[in-house]
Amino acid sequence: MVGGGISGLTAAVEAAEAGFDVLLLEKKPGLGGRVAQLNLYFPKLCSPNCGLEIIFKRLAANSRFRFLTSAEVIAVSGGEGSFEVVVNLKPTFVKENCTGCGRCAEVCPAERPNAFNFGFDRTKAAYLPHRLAFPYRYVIDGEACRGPSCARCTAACPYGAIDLEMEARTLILKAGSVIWAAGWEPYDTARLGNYGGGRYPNVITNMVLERMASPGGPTSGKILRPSDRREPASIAFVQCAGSRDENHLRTCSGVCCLVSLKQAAYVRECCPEARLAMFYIDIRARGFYEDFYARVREGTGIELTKGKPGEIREDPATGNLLVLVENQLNGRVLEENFELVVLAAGMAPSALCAGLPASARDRDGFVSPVLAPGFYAAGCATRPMEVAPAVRSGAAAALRAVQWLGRRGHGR
Amino acid sequence: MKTLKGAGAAQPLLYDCGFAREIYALEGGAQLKRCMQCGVCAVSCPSRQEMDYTPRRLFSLIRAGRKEEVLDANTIWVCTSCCTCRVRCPRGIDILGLMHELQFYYLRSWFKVHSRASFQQAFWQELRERGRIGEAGVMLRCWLKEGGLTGAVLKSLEMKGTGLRLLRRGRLRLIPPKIEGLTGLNKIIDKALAQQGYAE
Amino acid sequence: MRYSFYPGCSMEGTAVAYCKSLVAAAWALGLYLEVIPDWNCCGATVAPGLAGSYTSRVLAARNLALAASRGLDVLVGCSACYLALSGANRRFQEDALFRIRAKEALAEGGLRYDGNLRVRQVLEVIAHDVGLDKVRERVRQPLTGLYVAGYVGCQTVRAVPWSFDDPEKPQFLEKLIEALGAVAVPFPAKVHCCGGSRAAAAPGEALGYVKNILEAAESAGAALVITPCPMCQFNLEVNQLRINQTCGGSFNLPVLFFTQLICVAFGLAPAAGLKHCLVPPYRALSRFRP
Ligand SMILES: Cc1cc2nc3c(=O)[nH]c(=O)nc-3n(C[C@H](O)[C@H](O)[C@H](O)COP(=O)(O)OP(=O)(O)OC[C@H]3O[C@@H](n4cnc5c(N)ncnc54)[C@H](O)[C@@H]3O)c2cc1C
Ligand code: SF4
Repeated sequence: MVGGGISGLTAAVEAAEAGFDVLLLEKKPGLGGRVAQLNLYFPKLCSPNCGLEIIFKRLAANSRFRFLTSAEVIAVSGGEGSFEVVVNLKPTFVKENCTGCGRCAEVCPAERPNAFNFGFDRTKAAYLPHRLAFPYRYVIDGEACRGPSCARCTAACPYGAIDLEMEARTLILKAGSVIWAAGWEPYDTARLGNYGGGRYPNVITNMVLERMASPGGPTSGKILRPSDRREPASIAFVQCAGSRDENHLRTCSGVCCLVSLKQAAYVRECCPEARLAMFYIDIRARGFYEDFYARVREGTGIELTKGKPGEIREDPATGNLLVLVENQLNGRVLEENFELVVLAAGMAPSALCAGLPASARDRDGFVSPVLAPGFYAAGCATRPMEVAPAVRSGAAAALRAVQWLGRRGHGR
Repeated sequence: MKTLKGAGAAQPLLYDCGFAREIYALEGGAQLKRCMQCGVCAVSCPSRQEMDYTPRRLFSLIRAGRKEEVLDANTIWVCTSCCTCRVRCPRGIDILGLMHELQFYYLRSWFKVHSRASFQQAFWQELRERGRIGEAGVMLRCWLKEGGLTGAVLKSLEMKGTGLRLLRRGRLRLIPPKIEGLTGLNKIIDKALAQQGYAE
Repeated sequence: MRYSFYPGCSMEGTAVAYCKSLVAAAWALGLYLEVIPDWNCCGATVAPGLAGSYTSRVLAARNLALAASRGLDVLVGCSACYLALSGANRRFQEDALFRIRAKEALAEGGLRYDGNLRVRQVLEVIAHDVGLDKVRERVRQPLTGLYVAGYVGCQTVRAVPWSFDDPEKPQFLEKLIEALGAVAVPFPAKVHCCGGSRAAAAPGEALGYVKNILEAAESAGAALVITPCPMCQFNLEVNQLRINQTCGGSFNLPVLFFTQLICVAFGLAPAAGLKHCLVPPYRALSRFRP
C-alpha cells in the first residue's frame, strides 16, 4: 500500500480485515494525508479527525496491519504476484519508543518552517508532525538539525529515544499486490503569474485557509491576512485557480467549489461582518451537494459573480488586492478591492514513482484505477475527488487486490 | 435577447447558425466552439476600454448569429496582437489568431472597406511586390490609400520630423531591395490563397 | 554553435542597430549565425488579417524551407517574426492536414519543408545554449551602477509560453541585466503592451500605452530601457519624441536593444550601433565607453 491518506488507509483496513497482510508506506512522518490538514469537512461541517480516528482504531486492532512512515516509494517493478517495491527511508532520528513527551523540542535550538502549515509558522527542528499526529511521535528535521555536535535533545530525552546517527536507508520489499494511493498536491500557484500567486502575501490558497481556520493551526483558528496579521474586512474566493485550464491542469478538480462554499460558511462564523465574494466559471455542486450550495448561498450572504478573474493586482502600500473580472451575466468589467484573496488551487497528482506504466497516465498525470494485474490505484491519485469517493475507491482497490491475491492463493 | 411584441405569446427566438458555421470553417475557427465564456480575455486585453465588445462577447454574438454586430464592432481592429489573452485562455484558444481570421473574413466578405485596413493593404502590396517590407514604402502606400495624393503629401509633411530623424540615423531605407525569389514567393501565395478558395 | 539566422524586415530598416549588435554579441558568445539566403517577410501580425492566417503561415514557412537543408536551429530576434515563424513551424509539426496542404503550396515555388527545424528566440538561446555564467565571464566592461529597465514587451515571452520564462512575470531579461553588472530596476510595466502594432496603423492611438511605460521606467529610476523587440523599441523611442512635442512631455529615456547593451558590456561598443539611436544614450553610457 503506497500512501497513508484517507484512500490508502481505507484500502489497508479493508484488506487487513479480510485477512491479508498489509504493509502501508507513507512518505510523511504521520498518517492521514491531506485530510489531517483540513479544518472541517463539507457537507456536514464536521471535524475530519473523527473519521480518521475510527480508521486508526480499526487498524490498531488488527495484527495483520503494519506501516512505515517517512518511507517514500520511489519505484515499483515486477508483476503478477511478485512485485518489488523500492522504498527510501528518511531518517527521523527518533526511535519507536518515543512517547511524545516533547522534551526534545523544548531544548532544541534550531527552527524550521512548518511545512504542515505551508510555512506559515515555524517549529523546532525536533517537532511533532501535528497536534493529532498518528503515530504520536516526534521527528527531527535532518536539514534544520545542527547534528550530533549539538545533541541537546539526546541528553534531554528521558527514554533514550533519540539517535542522531540514524542514516537514510533504501529497502526493497516484496509484495503480491500493490495499491498506489499517493494522493494529490495543491497546484503550484506561483505558476499563476496573473494572480500573483506566491508573490502577493495576501493571495493565499484554499489549503492555507484550511490550516489557518483549523483550531490547531498557525493562527489558532483566526483568519488573518499574512501581510499584517489583521482580520480581513473582505475576502474573495477565486475559483479554478489552475484547474479547467489548458495551460495548467485540464481537469476540473471537482471539490474546490464545495471547498470555497464550506470555507465561506466557517469564515462567516468567525468574521460576521466581512464581505465575502466568489468568482466562478460555474459552480460545480453535483447531486445532493446542490442543497449544501443553496444553504451556504442563503446563509452566508456571499456575493456570487459568474466570471473568471483575469488578473489580480496588489496595492503595495496597503496590501489590498484589486480583482479584475468580467461579470458574464451583464458583460460589465468589474475592478473590485479585497483585503484577502483565496485561490481555489487545483489538485495536482502527487509525483509518480518509477515503474508506473506511462500508458495508464492521463494528460494531467492522474493514473487509471487498474495499472496492471495486481497493481491498482485509489483515491486522488486516479482523479480529484472528495473524501467520500476516495474512501469508496480505496475499498474498491482493496477488493480488487484481495480478489486477485485470493485467486492465486497468496496472502493469507 | 430580443423581446418579442405580441400578447404575451412566447415565440421561439431564431438563431442564424449559418454565420457561426462560416466562422467555424475559417482557419482555426473551430476553436471558437471550445470557448466557455469565462471572460478572462475580456479582462486581460490592454485595449479593453476601447472595445465595443470584449472577445468573450464577440464570440457569444458569433454563436448567436449576430453578423452585423460582430462585423461592425471595432473589437477585431483594436487588438494589438499582444498575446496576453492567448496565454491566459483556459481553453487554449488562439484568440489573436481568431481576431486576424475575422479581419480576413471581414475584408473578404463585407462590402465596406474598413478604414483601419489601409495599413494592412499597403503592407500586403509591399510584400507582394518586393517580398520584404520597407517601413517608408508601407507608410507612403498607406497614406496614399487613406487620403489620395494630397493626403499622402500632407501626412508626409506631418511626419517629416520623424522621417528625417530616422533617415539621418540610418534607420530608413527609401527603396528596400526586392528578393530574388519573388516570383516563387508569389506563386506560393497564390497557391495558398487558391487552396482556400480565394484568389486575388 | 551554429544557427540559421532570420533577421526580418525591421532589422534592415528601423532596427539596423539590433542586427549589428546581435551579430556582434552572438559572435562574442560563440554563436555563429548564417543568414537564411533570400529570406522574405514573415507576414508579422499584419498579413494574417489581410490574407488569412493560413496563407500567412505558408509564406512564413518559405523561410523555413530555405533553411531546411542546413538543419540548423533558426534564430530569430524580432518578436513578431518569432511569433509568426514559430507559429507556422508548430502547425507544420503538429497538424498533419496543414502540413499536407502547405507542402503543396510551397512546392509551387519549388520548395520543400517537413517541419524538421526548431525556431528559437535569441533570449531563449542565451538562456539555454549559452547560459548566464558564460555571459558574465565575457563581460569586459561591467556596467556597474547603471540603472536599466528591462522592457520585455508582450510577444517575446508569450509566443511560446514557458519556453524560457514565465509569460506573466518574466525574470530572464533582468537576470541578464544583472549578469552585465548593471542594476535591473523593479519594473512591473515590463510586460505591458506598448501598442506598437496599432501605432503602425494609427500612430496617435499608441501614445497612451507608451506614456505609461515610460513613466513607470522613469519613476523606477532607470537611466535607460532595453528591449528584445524592434516594434517596442521603435514605438517607445519615436513616440517618446511625439509625446514631448504634442503633450508637452519631457522624456529623455534612451531605448536600446538588449544586444546593444551586451555589446557595450563586452567592450564592443563600436559594434553596438549606438549611432542609430534617436534618443542619444551617450550620457547614460559615458562611463562605460573606452
Ligand atoms: C482545500 C481543500 C479542502 C478539502 N476539503 C474537503 C472536505 O471538506 N470534504 C471532503 O470530502 N473532501 C475535501 N477535500 C478533498 C480531500 O482532501 C481529498 O479527497 C483527500 O485528501 C483524498 O485522499 P487521498 O488518500 O486520495 O490522498 P492524500 O490525502 O493526498 O494522501 C496521499 C498520501 O500519500 C503519500 N504519498 C505520496 N506519494 C508517496 C510516495 N511516493 N510514497 C509514499 N507515500 C506517498 C502522501 O504523503 C499522502 O499522505 C478537500 C480538498 C482541498 C484541496
Ligand atoms: S470544482 Fe469548481 S473551482 Fe474546482 S475546478 Fe471544478 S469548477 Fe473550478
